[in-house]
Amino acid sequence: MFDRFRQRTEETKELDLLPFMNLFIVLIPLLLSGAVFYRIGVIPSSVAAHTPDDPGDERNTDEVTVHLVLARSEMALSVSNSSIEPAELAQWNATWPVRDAKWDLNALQDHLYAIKSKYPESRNLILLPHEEVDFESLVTVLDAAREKDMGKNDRGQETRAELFPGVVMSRFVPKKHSQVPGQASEGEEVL
Amino acid sequence: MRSRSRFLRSSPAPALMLTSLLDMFTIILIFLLVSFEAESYEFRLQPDVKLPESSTRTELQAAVNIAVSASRIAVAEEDVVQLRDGTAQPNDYDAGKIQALVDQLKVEYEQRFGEDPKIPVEEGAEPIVVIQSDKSLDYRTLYLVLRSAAHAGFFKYRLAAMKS
Repeated sequence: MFDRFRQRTEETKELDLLPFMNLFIVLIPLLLSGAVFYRIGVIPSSVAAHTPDDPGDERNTDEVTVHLVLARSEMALSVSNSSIEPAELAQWNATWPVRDAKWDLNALQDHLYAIKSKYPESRNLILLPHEEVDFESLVTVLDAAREKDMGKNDRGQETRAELFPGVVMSRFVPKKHSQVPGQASEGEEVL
Repeated sequence: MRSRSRFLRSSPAPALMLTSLLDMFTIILIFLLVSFEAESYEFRLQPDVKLPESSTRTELQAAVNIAVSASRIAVAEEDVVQLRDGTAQPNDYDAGKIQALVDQLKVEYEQRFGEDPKIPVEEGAEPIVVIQSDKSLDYRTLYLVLRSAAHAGFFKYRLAAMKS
């Protein structure tokens, strides 16, 4: 009886894996040819557009629009909302000089976080870079202005606070004769 | 001699161990299938464009692609304008737009959002352009591209970057 059992066991054939192998050899190059090994993200933005019929939302006193000038020598920030007293808005004006050819993005982010805490409905930031700012530097500023890293929560997950994700691109043109107080350096103008 | 040939005859033919190879292939296949599914929208990064890194988490969506390198501007992988060291013609800066780019983008706009669209777009889709710009490009030229897109009807942009 045992001999018969052993004979049956020995006769059990292994699975023929060659068809699977052939299938994989066809599938893997096919998928490899279409695979993408880099991850692309996008930063939403827009340009300023004038819409005469748009009533605007500036009656809401819980929001402001931030104007950020990236000049050669400094970074200047101001806020606007026609429904809020200019004196109240003026306290948020700030400038940070360029040091070692770098902008102080941590200071900018902390300031934007303070503005966002005061006016939580705020979303829009109008960016006015000077002409020679390269795209890479622009992206680092946008990253700092759009979100703030808030560290890890109780579950160990990284959390981020939304700052000003609505970026409007505008233009900053050097001015030849006069200066805009509190917003730009001498010889530069905001348009 | 005789004993050697007997030895050769009696030794079994070596069998390939395919099981471990099959395991490896299965893992590669699953990885590729997952990454294939994640990239629902085909985005072809131009070889002469080096994107900057960004912490953005916004995913790429189907839109008109504009690539801006140091030597050219391409719309949907078709060269439209030649640049010199990332700089357009001086009269383009004076005009605030690149006319050839505006014309090409107007064609793209008409094909998607015109009265008789030839390229189907998702319901509720907005006229958006994805701009893959070289990280060294200065804002002067980038803004010119943005303004040109606005002249053609594209007021919203997605600036492409490598996720860090």
